[in-house]
Amino acid sequence: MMRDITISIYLLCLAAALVLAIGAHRPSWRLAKVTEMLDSVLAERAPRIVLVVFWWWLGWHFLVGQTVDAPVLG
Amino acid sequence: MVGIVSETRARGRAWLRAAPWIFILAAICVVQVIRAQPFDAVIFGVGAVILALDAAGALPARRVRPSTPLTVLIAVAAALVVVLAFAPRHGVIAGIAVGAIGIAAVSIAWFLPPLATGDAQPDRRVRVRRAAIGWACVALVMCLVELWSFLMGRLTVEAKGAHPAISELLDPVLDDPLARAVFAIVWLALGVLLVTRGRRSHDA
Repeated sequence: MMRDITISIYLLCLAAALVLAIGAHRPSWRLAKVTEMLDSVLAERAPRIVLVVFWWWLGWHFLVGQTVDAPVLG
Repeated sequence: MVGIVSETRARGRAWLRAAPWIFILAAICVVQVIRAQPFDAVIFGVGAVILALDAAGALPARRVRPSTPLTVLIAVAAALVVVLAFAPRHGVIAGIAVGAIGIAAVSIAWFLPPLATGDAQPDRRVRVRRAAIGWACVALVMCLVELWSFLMGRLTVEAKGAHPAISELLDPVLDDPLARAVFAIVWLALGVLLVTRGRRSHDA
């Protein structure tokens, strides 16, 4: 039950991201497109480095490093 | 005297703008310490310290990085998709490829020339702010649920099954080379997007 709820929340987040990306193409929503928003956010060094480092770590985490951690109590 | 005061104020504003981002890196560093992953913790910890030093003006003045054509970036990324799809997961080849990608991406991002953003029209600023709030809410909910699942899943095998982190859901899927190729395409495309936005020309 709890597992289904958790997975549902992940899927809802994914759906919300799609709604934001698609909704930005509707003028009445008054939302910037993803690229337009990134142009603004990434104009400064701190957010640029944080997002690039986190993006890189995702690749490292799933392809190279330890992806799944063992429970501490067994 | 006036110059010193205005410079101090500018430095203070730079600190305020950078502080939330430094906090994010520091928070992820703490999570990696809880995960008992020292390498990952060092990556985020060093990142936080370097950004703090940069915001404080303690690092040498920025240099404009060499030109990197977008077509070259895309060609290199396409070649890397093949390497990452067929190289064994958690192996040396994947480690070298992903490590090299990280060094290149952070270098490009670090030396991106500063851009003037003050000329944005009010309507554009409002649209960007609304989009940023929306995306930040999605990211925040995702991170909180992931953190909750990670902490609960650390306790027992039963709890881990009831509170799956995204890593646990994706891990078995990525053992398949085709799925790994799809992951590599999405991951590298996102990386190219991150190092090519925030600039005005068609050069990365």
